[in-house]
Parts: sequence; C-alpha cells; structure tokens
Amino acid sequence: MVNESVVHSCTTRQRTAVLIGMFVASCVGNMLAAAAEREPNEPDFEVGAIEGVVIYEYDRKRSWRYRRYYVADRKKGHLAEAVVGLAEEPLTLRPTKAKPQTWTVDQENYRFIPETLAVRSGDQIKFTNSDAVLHDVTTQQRQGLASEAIKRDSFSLRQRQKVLRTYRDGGTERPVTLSCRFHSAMRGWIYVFDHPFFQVTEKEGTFRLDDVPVGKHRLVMVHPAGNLRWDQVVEVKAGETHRIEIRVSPDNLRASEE
Amino acid sequence: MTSPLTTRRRALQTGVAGIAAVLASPKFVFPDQNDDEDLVPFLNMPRTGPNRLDWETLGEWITPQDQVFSVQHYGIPEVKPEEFKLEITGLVERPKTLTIDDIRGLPKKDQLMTLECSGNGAGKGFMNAIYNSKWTGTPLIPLLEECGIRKDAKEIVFIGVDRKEETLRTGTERELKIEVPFGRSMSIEDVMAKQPLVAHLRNDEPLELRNGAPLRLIVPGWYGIANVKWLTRIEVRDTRYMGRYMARDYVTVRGEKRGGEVVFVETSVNKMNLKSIVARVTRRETVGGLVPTKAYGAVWSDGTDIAKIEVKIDDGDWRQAKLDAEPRDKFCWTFFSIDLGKLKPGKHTVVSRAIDANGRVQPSQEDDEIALKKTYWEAYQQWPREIELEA
Repeated sequence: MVNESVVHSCTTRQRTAVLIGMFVASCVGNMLAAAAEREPNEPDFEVGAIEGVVIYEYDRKRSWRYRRYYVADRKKGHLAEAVVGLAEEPLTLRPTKAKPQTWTVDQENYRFIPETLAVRSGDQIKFTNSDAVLHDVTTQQRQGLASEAIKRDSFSLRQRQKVLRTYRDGGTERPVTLSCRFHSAMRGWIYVFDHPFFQVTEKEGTFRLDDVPVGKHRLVMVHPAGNLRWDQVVEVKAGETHRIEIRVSPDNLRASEE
Repeated sequence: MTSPLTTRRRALQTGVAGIAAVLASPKFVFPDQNDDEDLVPFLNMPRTGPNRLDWETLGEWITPQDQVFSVQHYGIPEVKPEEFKLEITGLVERPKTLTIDDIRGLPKKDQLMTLECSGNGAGKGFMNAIYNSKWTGTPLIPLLEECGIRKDAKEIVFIGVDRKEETLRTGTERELKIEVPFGRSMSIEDVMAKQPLVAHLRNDEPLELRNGAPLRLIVPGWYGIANVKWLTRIEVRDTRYMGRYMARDYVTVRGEKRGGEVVFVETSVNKMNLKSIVARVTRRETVGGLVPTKAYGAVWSDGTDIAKIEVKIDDGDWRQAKLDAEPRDKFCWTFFSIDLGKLKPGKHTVVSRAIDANGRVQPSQEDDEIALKKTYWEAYQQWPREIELEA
C-alpha cells in the first residue's frame, strides 16, 4: 500500500520517484512476507515432480551375477539400491541448502550398510563398526570428470568406534567409493549431490523427486554394484508429475544410453 | 546325437584333448538343477564382490576370470615380460637363465587344478578365495634335471619379483630391517612327488598380472601360498629356507591332545585339506504347506580320492549326496547335489561334510582338529549355511 500524505508534499518528479520507490519497497516487502510464510527450503520457482520405477530386465544368456542382491522378484524386476537423480550441469535453479544432515554408514556382517548412500554436499557421514573385528576403511574419489587424480583417505575402526567425514561433490559420475583393506569383498558408494533432486530406490525400485524446477532435465540412474547406467532428458511441467519407467538390462552395463 | 555331458565324459578320459573339450563345451551347470528352481539366499552372509567365486551363481566348472581371487603380500610388482628372466641357480651343476620366449618354447603340459587360499573360509571376512583352472606351462622337473641337481641338495626355493622391507625382532635392541623378496620352498621329495609346473597360461590365456604373470609356479594339491607368483628365481639349497612365509607366517599352530595334555605344534601350510561346502540351495513352489528343496555344492582335497559326501539339515541325520560323475579331475573340485525333500517353511541350517578314500572326515568347528587350531590358515571346517524358506 502507498502512503498518500507523503505523496501530497512532493513535486511531480519527486512524487513519481517516491511512488516508484514505495511500490518497489512494497513488492519486496510482500516477497519477504511470502518467503517468511514458506518452509525454509521451499523453492521460489515453478515446480513439478518426477516419479517412477527402475526395472531390471533379466536376460538368461547374459546373467548379471549380483542380481539376487538387488532384484527381489525376477518377474517384476524392481531394482533396489539404484541412485536416481538429476545431472547437475543443466540445473540452473535449485533450492537453498537445508541444514546439513548426518548419515550413518555402518559396517555389519562384513558389509557397508547402506551399501549405496546418496547425500547433499556438506552432509556429514558417520562411519561406525558393529562387527567384532577391526575394519580399515579406504575411501577414494576421482577429482574431476576428466581427471585421473584420485583422492584417498583411510581410517581404522574398532567395534563401536566412529569416524566423521564430509564430502562436497561428485554427483552421479564421481561417487566416493568405500572398501576395507582387511576384507576385500566389502564395498560401498556415497553419491554427493549439489541439489536435493535424488533418491536411492527401495526394494520396490520406486523413486520420487519433488519440487523439481520446470523445464528440461537430464535424469540419470546409476547402479554402482552392477555398473549399470542410464540417462534420459525429461521435461517437468508446473504442478505436474512426470512419470517414467526406467528399464535397464545387460545392455546398460558400463554404457550410457540416450 | 551326443549330449554335451557325454562329450565331456569321453573327453576327460583322453587326457589333454579332454581338457580342451571341457573348456570348449557349453557352460557347465549342476546337472540336476531344473529351470523352475529358485535360489534360496543364504542368511547373514556378506555380499560376494568382484574377483571372488560366487557360489550361488556358479555356472562353470572352470572358473571365469572375473571370479578369480588374488592375494599378494608384497603388493603387485611392475613386470616387463620382455625383460623378465627365470634364473635356476644354487646347488646345480649347470645354472641356467631363461627368457619368457625360452620357456614358451619348452615342452608344454596342462594341469587342471583347484587353487584355494589357505585362509579361505576362516571367517565371513574372507570367503570364496578358490577357483578352478587349466594351467599350461613347462614341467619343472626336466628343467631341474637339465641343470643337474647336486647330491647335497635338500630343498628348492621359489622366489618372486615382489619385494618388501621386513622387520625382524621388532622393538628389541637387535631389531633388523631387511628388504627381501617373497619366497616359498619345497623339499626335493615333495617336488618329485607333486611335479610342479612353471605356468604361463591360464585357460589358454596369458596370466593376468595379479595372478602372477608372466610366470607362476603351480603345485597340484597345495594351497595358493605355495604357488609362487611372478616366479623369477629357483634356488637349490642344502639348508631349510626360513623366509617369512615359510617359517613365521602361514604357519599353523594347532593343539594336539596327548593324554590329558594339549601340546601345540607348528607346521608350515602346504598341502590342501579335505573340504566341502554347500554352494547353493534351491526351492520350488510350496506343495501342501511344504517346500521342495535341493542343495548343491563342491568338494575338493589335495588329490586324495573323495569317497562320499554327506549333507545334514538342522539336527537331522547325515544323508549321502550324489557326486557328479563328470567333469572330474584328480586335483579339481567335484560338484555334488542332494534332494532335501519337502521342508517346513522357516529357518533351517544346511551343512555338508566330505569323507575321503582313507576314511578321513571333514571336521566340524567343534572338533579338536579345528577347535584347537589357533591360527587363521587351513580353514577346512564344515561350513553351516543358514536359509529361510517362505511358505
């Protein structure tokens, strides 16, 4: 609302300037008020959603020997522990960073649990050990898409000890890989995203990404244990949910597909 | 028309030609397994990673390279095959140095063999370190004979390219640091009995570096540690070799009961032990509230004949399983299967035990032979598998 008493005591030019100033102040005030009413991480741009399911198509002639760990029902093919997320490069709008969270990667029964984790940049990872033996965790991450440089870190964990680490980047292409020097079959992956549009599929193979800015995005699915990769450009429309069925097969092993 | 199995049987009876036929034949699967059988995953087991045998999906008698394990104690060395040499030295009349091309030009022999790490199955943290292969190379004994072994020779030491600084008497005033190569030894008698191979091919392909390329000693029926990788020197000696992996590590410490006393004895790890494992459990659709269930597995030894294999469910009686008639070979694993009948839904334990031609029985974890073993290696105890059958 414009203040009339101030307007009467000014010249036309001054009055115009004051009116513009008051209008701008009013708009900013309204925007701030609206922002104050929103959830802290609610986006201030038009959004839609992407939801779908990841399905692994069984091929008897080209068997994937880890399938039994990630596909509970051979006929349905729902793929668990797949990371589905938006590629970072074309994503220009993204919500502000929420308060960093802490995630636990335990070592139990000679496995990293979870084996595959996806987090936001700056989140804290708490490594723990529930086994009665010493584990010696080694983390490795490639330092750039075109770089062969690898950042390594290692730490020993006795039962009930913990170690905290924070990772900053990587997206779907450069996960932090986990291994144990003493127990070479142990492996795990941490994907670190600079935005909140990612999810790790559950047993049913499903995922849903909410509040995705409208427009075209590259949707990527990676399954590190199977070395499966898929990607496709999807279009998100305001207030709508883009539904997709991601079907992968041995053709997707070590391959990228449009 | 001849079936693939018949082809394999005939082929195996004809020696080297047989080996080629086994490798060329269609993928081996447990012959009694049907398409309608679904895998019942083992409970509380770590997931199998790359470069490890995957029992539950095992589809071939000869192990594919992506399921072959490798263990090295001094790291994987950098090796240039064109510069690589094998030296035969020590107590021989005519020392010899051979290039890779020299060795490739020598008479060849194939050796089918299951190679197991002696720590395989010591715990859930180290499983599935075993694989079956056809190794090709030149027999060691003629090479040694050409060099002329002297009469005072007692032992032959096999040295690899891999080296590391070792510390002896750590923390004492007499602490000593020395850089040493990896080495293992065999007595002359053992060499003559086991007839090792200096191998340069696995399954007709050059060895992978992690598996010992370009040359690896192959000792049929002995644990992996004796099969020295990156073999570069063979040294004939008149004294015992006491390198770390003969005298300090890979030494089994075991209590033996003598009267009322337990006496601990230390022995170097060498020949493989009688061992079996349930590799896979399968099921069919529930019938009348019960689940038709089968088990499949493998049994192996140091070459001693296997007399029978038995399987037990929960606290039931031992029941004899069927040993596959083929493929078979003296130093290789043999597959077995058993119809466990219709089981009640719920949790069960399935375990196997092997019995060899000498009446030796694969011990359980509780038997003195294993219970009094204080070290990690020679992990040949029975391995119970836990499963859960859903109705």
